[in-house]
Amino acid sequence: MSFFKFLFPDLSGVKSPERFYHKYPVIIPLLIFLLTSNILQAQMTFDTLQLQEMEIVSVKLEENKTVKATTIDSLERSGFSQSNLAELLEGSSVVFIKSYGRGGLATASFRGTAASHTQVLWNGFQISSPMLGQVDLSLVPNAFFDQAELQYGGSSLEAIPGALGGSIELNTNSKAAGPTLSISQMMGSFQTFITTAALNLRTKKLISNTRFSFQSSKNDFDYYNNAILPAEWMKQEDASVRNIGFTQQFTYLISDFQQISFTTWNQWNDRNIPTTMTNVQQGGNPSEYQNNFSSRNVLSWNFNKSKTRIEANAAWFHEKLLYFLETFDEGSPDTLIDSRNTTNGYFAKAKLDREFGKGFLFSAGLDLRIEKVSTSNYQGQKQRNSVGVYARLEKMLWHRLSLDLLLRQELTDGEFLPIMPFFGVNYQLLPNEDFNIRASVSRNFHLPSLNDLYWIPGGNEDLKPERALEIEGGLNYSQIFNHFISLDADLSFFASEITDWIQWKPESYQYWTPENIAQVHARGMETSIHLNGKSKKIEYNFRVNYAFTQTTDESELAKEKGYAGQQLIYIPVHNANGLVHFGYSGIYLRWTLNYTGERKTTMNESNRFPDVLPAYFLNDVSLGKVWKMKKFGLEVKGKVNNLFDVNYQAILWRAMPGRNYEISLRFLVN
Amino acid sequence: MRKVNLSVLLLLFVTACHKDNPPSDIPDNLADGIFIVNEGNFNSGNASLTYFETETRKTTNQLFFKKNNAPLGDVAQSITMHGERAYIVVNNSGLIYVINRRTAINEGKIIDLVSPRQLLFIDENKAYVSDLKSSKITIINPTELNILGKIEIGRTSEEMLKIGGEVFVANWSSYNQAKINNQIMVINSLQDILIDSITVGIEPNSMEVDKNGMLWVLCSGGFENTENPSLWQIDPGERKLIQKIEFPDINSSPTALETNREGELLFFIDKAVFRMGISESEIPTQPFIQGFSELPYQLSINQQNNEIYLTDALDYTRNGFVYRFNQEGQILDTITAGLIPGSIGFNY
Repeated sequence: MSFFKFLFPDLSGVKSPERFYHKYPVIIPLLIFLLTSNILQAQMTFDTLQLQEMEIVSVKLEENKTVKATTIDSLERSGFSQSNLAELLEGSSVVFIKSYGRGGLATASFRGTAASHTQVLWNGFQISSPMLGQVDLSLVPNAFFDQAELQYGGSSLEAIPGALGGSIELNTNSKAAGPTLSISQMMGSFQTFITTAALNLRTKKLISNTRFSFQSSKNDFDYYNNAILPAEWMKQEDASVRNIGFTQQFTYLISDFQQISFTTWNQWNDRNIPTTMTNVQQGGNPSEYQNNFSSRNVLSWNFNKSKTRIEANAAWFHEKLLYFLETFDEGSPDTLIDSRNTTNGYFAKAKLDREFGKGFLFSAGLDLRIEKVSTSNYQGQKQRNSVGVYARLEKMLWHRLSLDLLLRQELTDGEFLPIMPFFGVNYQLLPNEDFNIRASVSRNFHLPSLNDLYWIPGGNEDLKPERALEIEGGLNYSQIFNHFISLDADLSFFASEITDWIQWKPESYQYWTPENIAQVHARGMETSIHLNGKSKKIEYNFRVNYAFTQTTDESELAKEKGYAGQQLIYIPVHNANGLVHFGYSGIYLRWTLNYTGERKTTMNESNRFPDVLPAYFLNDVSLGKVWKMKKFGLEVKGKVNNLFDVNYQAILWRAMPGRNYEISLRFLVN
Repeated sequence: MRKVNLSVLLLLFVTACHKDNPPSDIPDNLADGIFIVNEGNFNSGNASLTYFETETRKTTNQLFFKKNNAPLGDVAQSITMHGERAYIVVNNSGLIYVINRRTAINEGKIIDLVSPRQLLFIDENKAYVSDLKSSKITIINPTELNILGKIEIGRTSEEMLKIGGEVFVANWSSYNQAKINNQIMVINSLQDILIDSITVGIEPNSMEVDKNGMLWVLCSGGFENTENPSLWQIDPGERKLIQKIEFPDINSSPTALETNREGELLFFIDKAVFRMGISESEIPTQPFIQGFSELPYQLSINQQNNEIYLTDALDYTRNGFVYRFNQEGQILDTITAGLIPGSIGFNY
């Protein structure tokens, strides 16, 4: 197969993508690189091979912040540079990822809230579908963004309303100083291939950054199907995925203080949706698949001089989602579902930050959001128009106490929501130590999704917004003891009460309809310990994150029916992950582990399978080597996923792969 | 290969343990009682089987899983008792599991069905399976457990009823068909061919035969309340309409038509349980049983003693209930079943 064909595949039919998975001669360049490795090694200096923006930097919670906000740093991202946002968050944060399996739908939820309460922003604008109000994180390649920041609870209010759990803010913003080219190729089990490339070009005034990503996997792993009688080993079928996409960013430096940039992210995703383990013997060869195209475009202007920063952005996000369910009853195909959905989002945002004297910051912003949906599932085209304004004051007193007040007002389709305030304090406990205590309180509102309002049948136009009252408290300690030991430890407690929580309920036995039913109390604790250090030849990183979350429905109805106090489904009480990274002389070993505690699958009292899914521990190990010279760099990596071949289910009767392997090669020119 | 051996070992270990310590709450042999088929949530694979012993009033949940170490599947639709066996149609898994009616141990399966709903015995070696998505009735051999053939009826199918040499098939759902779902299809069960059809109201969901041999068809009037629900009395021999009784409220959605042992009384669910005599020509205004169920779902009448079983699906996310009443409508038992209890099999 020619490289051209490989780069520009026929995207018309995902349904039988087998022809697409020919192995191509990537093995030859690999051999060449391996043969010349001795020469390269002689000139090696130690570093992890990354583009400039992927340099390893020490990470910690932002100092003097009145709320928890974490940046996913490049070390974490480097381990997931070829995978997607779902895997990155699963491996590096305590945000809970609910995944329907390799290549399948994956959503995120913070602190015991629902997936719809997580907002994902890219370059300042929400990428969630207005139909569902949530984002499929498996369709966000990590290669396409440079920064990922998690805002927990009320701190998301500056960026966006409605993120009752929190927000994930992604930024594509290349800072490369000169021309660089990086190309990487991964090959893995189950005919998985991922190619990424990035090219940076720069003149004095103009910066261009181009990224490309291609991913395909047949996902035909073996698994033991004990959901059928008799149980047997099977191959996963109809689980292939294929994504191709690119981003392009042009930045023009108008002056030292002003720049204008245009960023576009275009992506085509084709996915076959496998059936559950209980349904593999169904007749009629059912075929379920989804094709989706998105184009997200942001134009922005920045002014940044002495104590004033002004930003104006406009965006158009377009998305097409096609979903099909077909059966073949004796040859003649029957299309059971043919769902075509188009959404358009038109957004604008202006923002001003101004520092008045030392330690006194004022910010204000204005957002306009128009979302339009055309789908056969609604009665006609539906649209939602929103205007939001906010103002924020941050004041530092006596060099130790920070106060932070934010007020946001939203107007949606002509109706005002109550004011959403956020207030936070941070106090430095000891004068010369980075040891802080913080507390905050906020109120937030989440509008029903357009599906909740307009879906036929069942959509309920009388739904009220979900209301949240949230409090958080925490302690953070950061210390660099010496060049070889630095520590960051954080402990947070949170509690939120969400009233009028929307749930879909069966209405007679005709169809389901959403109602403002539940009153959810989510509370818990999060803790993280990060330890790292570096000497000339050795570096190490050790990280542990753990979350304890109790999330229950305490509504009068729940009390009356006896399910108050029970954990909501598919939210684990215990969730943890860890990372051990050790580097010596360009060789590195990286061990990540993920623990997902028991999850309820129903609201029954029973604590036995299948009302409860057992907890599982997953271990991934990678070993890599980096060669770096003046102009070139090379990284070779091998990885074992699910090292101990754990047989687990993230969602009841959804097959998951056992132990599997990846090798990858990254080449950099600068 | 090593992976296989390891898990076989593991499985042996698990089964060995299982045999050494049989959980105390599962009887080896089931005394007289009822099977309750719990549908479970669509696409979740959490259907289950409950057993209720009428004498001891003992309930066993997750019976299929406990006996067979595998889930029942995805959306268990109906149970049909025949001889020493019970046949459980698992809709979205596209299969029928056959269990021994006294041990609940799996004795075989019929797979490769598109969207099976109900099973109707024609004789010992032939049965029909209706289908929600396919326009064909599947003919199976219920003894050998294989597929014999298909009957094209041009529509999807739900409840089936055999009267003499003819099978009446309700075209309940309009899913996957352009035609209006308002027909009862008639099949000659000797030749396995479609011979006629009878027009009724939209969405015929259940049928019964009364003591005079009259066919009663209950139509809910459509998914989006297209027309008033209606109850049709048909002479099945002549295939002629005797009377059509309309429900006054277009928004009501009656289902689950049943008769008593004598074939003199009709029962159905319309938020509550209603009862009417076969000679009446109006829908009763007062319910027969009400106030028990949060979401009344299915109705079954024990043809030996006229006891009435009403299932309650609650909100589809918690284990539902089955209420047992005597023929006067007095409550006898409340049984905690599984998720969305529906079809009931009488095991006497």
